[in-house]
Amino acid sequence: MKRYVIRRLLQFLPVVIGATFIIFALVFAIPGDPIRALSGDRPLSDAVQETLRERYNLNDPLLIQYGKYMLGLLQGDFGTTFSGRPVNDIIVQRVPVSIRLAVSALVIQGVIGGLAGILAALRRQGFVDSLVQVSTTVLVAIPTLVLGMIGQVVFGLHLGWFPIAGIDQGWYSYILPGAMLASTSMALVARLLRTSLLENLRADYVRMATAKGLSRTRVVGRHALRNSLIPVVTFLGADLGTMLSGTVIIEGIFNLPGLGREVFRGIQQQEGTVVVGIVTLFVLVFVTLSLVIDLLYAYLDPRIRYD
Amino acid sequence: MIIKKTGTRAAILAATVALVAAACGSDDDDSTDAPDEAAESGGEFTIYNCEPQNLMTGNSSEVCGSSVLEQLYSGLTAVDYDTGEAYGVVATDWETEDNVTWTFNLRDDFTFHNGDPVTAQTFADTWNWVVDPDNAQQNANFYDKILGYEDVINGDAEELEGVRVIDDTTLEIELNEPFSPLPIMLSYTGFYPLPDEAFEDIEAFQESPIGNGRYQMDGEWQHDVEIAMERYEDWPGDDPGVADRIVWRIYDDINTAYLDVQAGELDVLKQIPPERETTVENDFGENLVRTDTSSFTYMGFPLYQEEFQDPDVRHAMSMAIDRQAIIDAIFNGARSPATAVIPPVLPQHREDACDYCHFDPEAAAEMYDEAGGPDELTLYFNSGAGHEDWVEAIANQWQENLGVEEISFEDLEFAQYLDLHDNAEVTGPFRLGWVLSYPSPQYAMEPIYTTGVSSNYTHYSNEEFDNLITEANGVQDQAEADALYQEAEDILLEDLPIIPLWYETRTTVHTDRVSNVEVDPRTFVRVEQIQVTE
Repeated sequence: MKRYVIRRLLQFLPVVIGATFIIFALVFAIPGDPIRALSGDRPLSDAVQETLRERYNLNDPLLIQYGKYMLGLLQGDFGTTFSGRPVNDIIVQRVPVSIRLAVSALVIQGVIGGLAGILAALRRQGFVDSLVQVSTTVLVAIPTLVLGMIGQVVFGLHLGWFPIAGIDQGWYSYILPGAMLASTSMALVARLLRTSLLENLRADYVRMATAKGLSRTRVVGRHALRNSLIPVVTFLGADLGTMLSGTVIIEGIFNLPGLGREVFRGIQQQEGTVVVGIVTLFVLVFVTLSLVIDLLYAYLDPRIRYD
Repeated sequence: MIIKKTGTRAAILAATVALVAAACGSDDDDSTDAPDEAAESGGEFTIYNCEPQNLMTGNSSEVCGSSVLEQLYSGLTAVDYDTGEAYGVVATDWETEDNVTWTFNLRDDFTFHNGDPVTAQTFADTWNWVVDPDNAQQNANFYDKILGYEDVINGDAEELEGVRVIDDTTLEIELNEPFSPLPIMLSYTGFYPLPDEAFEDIEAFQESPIGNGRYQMDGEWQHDVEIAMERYEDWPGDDPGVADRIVWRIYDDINTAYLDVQAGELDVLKQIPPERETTVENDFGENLVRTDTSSFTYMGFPLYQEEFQDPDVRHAMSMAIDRQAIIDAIFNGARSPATAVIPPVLPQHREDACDYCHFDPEAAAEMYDEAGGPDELTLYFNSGAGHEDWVEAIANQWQENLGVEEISFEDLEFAQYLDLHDNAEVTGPFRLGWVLSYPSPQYAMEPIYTTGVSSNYTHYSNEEFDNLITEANGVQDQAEADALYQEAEDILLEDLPIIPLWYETRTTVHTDRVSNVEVDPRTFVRVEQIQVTE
């Protein structure tokens, strides 16, 4: 187990280096001169442009630029934006926002999606099951962007239950955006869990447990459900990527100052340092979480071994 | 100065964008009806803003930063939009005999929000710092009319030769050549004074800028969230801010802001999403204000390409466009057709200045035929800024009215778009825009159409036009100068290096909590005069 973890951690290194380099190169390859575009069609004087290019190493070839950037990164310096703001500050300001949004979404898709899946499986063909089947189909079919805007108008403007935008009201501000971000995955979790649970409920070990005289709650809760969670956990792990891209949209609609919005802006303005800094963070979060999820398997199914 | 967008997301991009509009004026309630005498000051309101690119006076070339900065700072002058003339703010008055050497007399009672006095030396120090290429300030090239600019830019001098401090309250400015709009130009954001503290660490300074304006920062700039400011009680001008506190809420998407005003969570939104034009009257009733602005959209011709060199080709293409139909169909009426290049918000505007800006498809077709206009066209515009629909509409009209057989489109990211222009690789009509940073007919023409200037993307060059502008810049008498500018405009509209299309009409909405909401021609809301009613 320990060796497994260490081996996985060592794999982080090439993943991070590879990812940052690819992203850095992609930003580098975007056509057009970012400094030229800074002030629109009234060009900056040559002297100013030259100073700025020099300051942001834009005159160097790709590899040198990347090298300088990584050197700074090793010292914990993520560089600065074109207006001189340290990317470190941006990350410190935005990480809590994005984490809150992600946690809200995870809780919502886990709890609501999970409950719906369990209820549907236990009352197969019943009303709840049909309801879950229909509503999840609808949710999966609607893109996050559309759902976000509809949710905002209905629950924010017309019903007034949640704030329309911003983070003034603490965690409460994150419920609506979190729910909208979670919607697709929530529906998928419900369906996945339902199918998986139905399958397990028919399995021999469940019949065995029932035959031993265990209560229904215990049979479902301790045995069937635990095993049924494995595909769901796998899905949640893989789904993180989708969720990160969803934050770009949801943070924009609900005006949350999170990382997604900043990446979007960074790309548009060709600010390599901003894009790479934040995406590197995304990559780290992603690989860490996939490690955690892999470790979770052992807990869910003791038969799984890591060596 | 450019308007790169009309839309929503574009607002975010303000950075790249560029709409500078920044002149000032703000510092005084110019013109327009001042709030009722009985106007009660006090209260707090929130107003929409996009995330500023930065909050440095010398570096802010877009509207999101400039509209905040103009509340935090007071320049030497501001502009009265009714008369188009400058009046003193920090300056009391000024004199010049030849429009080259100017003497500005300053008030002695202006202070920065940290208590430091604002003197002639403050302006000299700030300006030298802004121009210094090591500081890479975007507004540096607004100083190019001042004597010694080139030397500082080339590193041959530390300070601008043409800026001289006579004593604490007297500042002398010497220019390269006569330039009568100087007092108007000095109202621009890039000329505001900075306190010494700013130069120590400008990046840290801009998180909570210290100015000498009506309002001072209340806490730090919370990026992407808000910028709060409170009235500076020691501001010595005649018309201090009305509200006690102003909070600029920063939005990414103007649609979200619109919902927030509807819900009463945000008090003022200065520009609504174009698709809301049809419902805004239902949504807001009396709480909306429509304002003409100087925000100008045009189609330029790459005059360096053979097929656009005959003026009749250009005339015909202009006359083949039914501007009003496009405005009604695509902008829901929120534009006014352009019939001149000096915008209607300036007193020097003439409604009938352009002979080729009215819709006349028959005459256009005939003229185009005779002049041998091209059968195939490529239209250029920057993508993602809401230009697709109207560019396509114009293409349709050209096909229909001029018999152009094939039209293709090049929509490019803005940076890439500008690269093409810089390399003179544009092969067809292209979209660009212009907002007046300071309200002078000079600024509506000189930076775009005189020979060899940096924003002259058409490569237009007409000696007679250049001379008239130079002459107008040098004339003492305002009326005489205006006549010369108009004469220059006539030449421009005859040569037609660009097709004037329209000026934007801004629709501003607000809640019941505020009144006296006005927008000036630069598209800035006059926040200092907004009154909180409850």
